Amino acid sequence: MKKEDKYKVPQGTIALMIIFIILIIALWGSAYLTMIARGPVG
Amino acid sequence: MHVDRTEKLFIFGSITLIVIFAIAIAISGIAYGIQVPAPYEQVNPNTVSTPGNSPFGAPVDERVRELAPGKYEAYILAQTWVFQPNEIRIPAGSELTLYVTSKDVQHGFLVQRTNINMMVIPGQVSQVTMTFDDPGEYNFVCHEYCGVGHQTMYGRLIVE
Amino acid sequence: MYANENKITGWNLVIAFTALFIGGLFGPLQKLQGIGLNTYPTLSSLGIKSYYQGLTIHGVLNALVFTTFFIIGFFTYAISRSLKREQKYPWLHWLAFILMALGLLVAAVPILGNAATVLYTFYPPMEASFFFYLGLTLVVVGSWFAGWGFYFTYWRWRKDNPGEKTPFIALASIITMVMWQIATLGVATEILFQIIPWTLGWVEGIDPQLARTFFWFFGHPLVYFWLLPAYVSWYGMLPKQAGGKMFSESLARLVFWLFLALSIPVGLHHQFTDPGVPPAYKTIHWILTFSLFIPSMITAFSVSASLEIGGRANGGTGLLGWISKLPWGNPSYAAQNLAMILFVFGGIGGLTNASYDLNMAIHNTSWVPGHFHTTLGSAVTLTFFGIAYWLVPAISGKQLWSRKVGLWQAWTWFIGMLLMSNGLHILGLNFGMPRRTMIGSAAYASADWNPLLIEAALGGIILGISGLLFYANMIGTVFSKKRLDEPIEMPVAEPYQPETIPSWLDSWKPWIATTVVLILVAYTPVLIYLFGNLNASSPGFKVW
Repeated sequence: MKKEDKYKVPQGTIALMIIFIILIIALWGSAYLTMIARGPVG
Repeated sequence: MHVDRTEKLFIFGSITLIVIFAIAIAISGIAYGIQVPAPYEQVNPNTVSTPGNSPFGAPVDERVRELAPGKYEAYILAQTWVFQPNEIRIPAGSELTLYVTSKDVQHGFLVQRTNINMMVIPGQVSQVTMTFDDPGEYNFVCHEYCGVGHQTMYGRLIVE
Repeated sequence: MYANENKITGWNLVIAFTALFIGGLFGPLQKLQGIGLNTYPTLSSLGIKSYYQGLTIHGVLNALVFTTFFIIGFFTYAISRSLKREQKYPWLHWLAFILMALGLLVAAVPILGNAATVLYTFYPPMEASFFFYLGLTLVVVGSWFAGWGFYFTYWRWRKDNPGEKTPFIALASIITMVMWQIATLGVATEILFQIIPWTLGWVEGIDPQLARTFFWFFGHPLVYFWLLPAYVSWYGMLPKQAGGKMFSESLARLVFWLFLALSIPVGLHHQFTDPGVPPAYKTIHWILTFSLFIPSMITAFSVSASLEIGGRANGGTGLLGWISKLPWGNPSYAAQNLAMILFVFGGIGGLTNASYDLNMAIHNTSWVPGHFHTTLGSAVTLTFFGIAYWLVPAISGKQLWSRKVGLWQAWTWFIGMLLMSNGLHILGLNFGMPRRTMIGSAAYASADWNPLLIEAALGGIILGISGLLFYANMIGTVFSKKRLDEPIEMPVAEPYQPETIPSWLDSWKPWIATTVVLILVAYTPVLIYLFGNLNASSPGFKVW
């Protein structure tokens, strides 16, 4: 591991982050739509 | 301060995402009319249910009133461990305004499967309005721990 | 060297894990009650008079005692190793420990005696024994002393090392203590100025809406006090354990400064449904809370990238293949990586909770314990287990009793938590099942809930087994005859690309100033409003 620690683009992390963002949108979005479907309150 | 190019992009994307979510929430309030509870009125919890002091002291069968065709209001008193009244009947299509307060400890008020979700705090009156278009039955439950009988504290809203 | 620190760490961990054991026992019992296997009548003869007394013990011991003692113990170890010096005033740390332990004992008596069945949030006008409030106050004040001890040590380090950047682990830990110091002012105010005068009869009534506001001033940063030590490990230690490096040192430091500034001025997001707080103030706190999304997203990227370096250095190839080349055979690693995966769901749930009116879809439903078991119960607790897998051997000088049991523990926790939190989240959002309720005896329980309650109970049982595996390993380690061949050093991640840290990322004044300004902006208007509309009418109630 003392060989050249040349910088490499973290491709795996980028892939994981894309999955993460999709999950956020899906799960938050599903809760949001549940709220919208339940209609106005105030 | 050096930030990796891909991480910079990701941060920018996250900021964009949270701004979009904020706009969606703003739309839910402004366009869809979903509002969080706001201060309505304060009362003295020690005297609020004394007959004659407030609608919360009226006889239980007078706590649900039709103000006009299709417009109802109900004054619900929360106390360990009941809601009074614990049954409300309204015709489908009615607009119902609920007023809830507590004469003792903190309670909660959740009409299951609706957006009606409020804390009930002694000294404060919680108010919410909702139109019930379709017939159905909803339980309203206390969702804040209020003592050993907490799990029995509920009522029914029946839309006929 | 470090003889005192090791003793203090050791004692704090003993109390922390003992508390978690007792508090944790109630977890599976609560879930079983939900599916009709009610052990509480039997428990009553053992002194646990109600589900809610058990729940009070569960919350106080797990969320307040286990956490605070572990964190102080962990930081005492980590700060001294990071600064490569012993704490300047050992007596301060012993005093802190004694105060905290005393506070625990003082509070334990009424809690176990069913005189404080008020849950860990103790919302007035429910009124517990005076000694409950006194005990909690002593624990909090004791923790302040530990913090001051760290500050003096750090201040001395800075004088001896002018111009040098603060080592990351020490900086992040001390930032966390400062945040805690400020945050606890809220609950201290509630207890000292509202509850104690009221419970001693000096004033007749209390204003519960104001009390809630002071509590949640503290209650939100409380969760960051829990989370940030896990972040210290994920950023500053875990990459080393994985053969990786810290992907971005500046960003890691920035994240901790951001948490200092942003963790406190957001408490009203726990009060979105409070009737006595105007929506305008709730809106301000909503926007500030949303800003907290960013440091956690940075953490997700940075920590993942740091670990990826290790996975690839260990021979991993392909887009995701490096994941299998991470040290999954090391229970300390496995526990923490699994904690991160669970935290994905915790974070998304937290974002939902923070989303202003969306909060009404889930407030006080079982979604909320579903959420905090994936955050406090996983990101924090499972990470703390992961830390213990090297820290307990390090300070006891013994080998970890069983690597395999450690791995079983981490994976069973992961599976159990997925099952339990999935059930609770859905029951809350879709069915409106309330939290903090003896649900197996609920008058309004619905048969629709049963499949999910069974799932949650199954998860709870698996978690209970996982907990037992942890304790078996800890006891086995501490009493082991096998000493370590060589001492264990604290893992310290090195930067991937060494960089000069700008001075504004190593200066306290601008960040403390920002913190104070944001708190004033977020809390002055609402406190003026609440004091202007003060309604201190409520007498005390004993509702159990």
